[in-house]
Amino acid sequence: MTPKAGDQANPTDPDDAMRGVSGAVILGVPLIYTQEVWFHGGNLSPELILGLLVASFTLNYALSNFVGFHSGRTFRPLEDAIIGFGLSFVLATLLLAILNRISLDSGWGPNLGIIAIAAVPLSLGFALGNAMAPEEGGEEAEDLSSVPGDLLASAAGAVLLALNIAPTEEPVLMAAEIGWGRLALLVILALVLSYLIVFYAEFHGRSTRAKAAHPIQSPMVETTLSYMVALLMSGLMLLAFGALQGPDGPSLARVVVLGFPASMGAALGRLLV
Amino acid sequence: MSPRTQTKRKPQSLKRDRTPFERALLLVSVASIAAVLVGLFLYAGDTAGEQADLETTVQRTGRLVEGGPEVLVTLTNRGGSGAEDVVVEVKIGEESREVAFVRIAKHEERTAAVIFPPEAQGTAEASILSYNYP
Repeated sequence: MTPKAGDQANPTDPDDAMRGVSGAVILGVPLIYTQEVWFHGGNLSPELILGLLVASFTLNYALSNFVGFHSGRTFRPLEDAIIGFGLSFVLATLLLAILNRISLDSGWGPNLGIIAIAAVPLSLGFALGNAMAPEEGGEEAEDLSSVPGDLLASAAGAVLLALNIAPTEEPVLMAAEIGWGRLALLVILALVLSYLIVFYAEFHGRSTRAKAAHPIQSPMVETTLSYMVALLMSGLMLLAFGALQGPDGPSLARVVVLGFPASMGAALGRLLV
Repeated sequence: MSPRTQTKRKPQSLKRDRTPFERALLLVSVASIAAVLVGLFLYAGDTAGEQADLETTVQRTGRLVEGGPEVLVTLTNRGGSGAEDVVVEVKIGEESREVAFVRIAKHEERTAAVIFPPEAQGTAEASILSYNYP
């Protein structure tokens, strides 16, 4: 069936979905790094979780009426809320599986509960995707549009998002329970999502960033440098809170685990310049 | 927040023509929502009325800390629900200590070490004083 011209106005495209995913990751990841979410997800009564899902879908629908994940489109709130909610379940499953918070051994019921609870903040972030970064960038942001400025923004964003996770025991706990394979997947996911958030999602300054003349500001190099800054800030934060013993395997694992939310913060920081 | 550049339009219904990407996105979203909702409904049926089933065991480690015996208390939950704020009393003779476990998930086991004074004599015993449901 050929779509009518009127129906093609403002179609949802991959950029929009990525913008929603960006909002979801930025807002939802700190809660995925919270023990209470894992515990209550696996132990709350399913009826209560279902009630929570109904309430959060209603909130998603309301947010899609005013913000949404597609810039300038608030006239398709039900469909946008369904997409945001559904993709949040998929994203929550992916992140929780990589972080070893759900497994086949835990039983499908508790796993579903954890996924559902973790998906709630992700879905709200999805519905707020359009508001995550102002169209015009941060105030006087052009002053920071250079290689040092990008790295400074990455460091600030990394600290902003990861500082409330660093002093908790979750990074230590997770690092002790996930193997090297999952850590490698976490590194890949951090790099891919950072790249997609900054250079693919329809946020402020995407096209100028992609065309940057300086070789260090090419998308791949900038993403890698920004991730390294996120890892450095994670290491410093963990060191400050006494969670690093020295240059050993467990300490490196903790840095990588905290480096994921830090890299999302670094991406958010770069969106604002 | 950026200034609103478009006027508010009337909400559209779900019945409209879509691009292939939109169809795929909607299909994945509806399928994942349905899977979680149906799964939670089935899980609700499975777990209706289930409760925590807590057991404690104690074991002397043989270590002395400042002259007093060290005892390991293990809390096991064999029930179908988690528990929070579990308070366990461990006794050796007339001496008793309380151990608080913040939470224990279903089918989980947690262990804590308790140090008694050197004068504690007798067999170590443990009992659950109280707990709450999440």
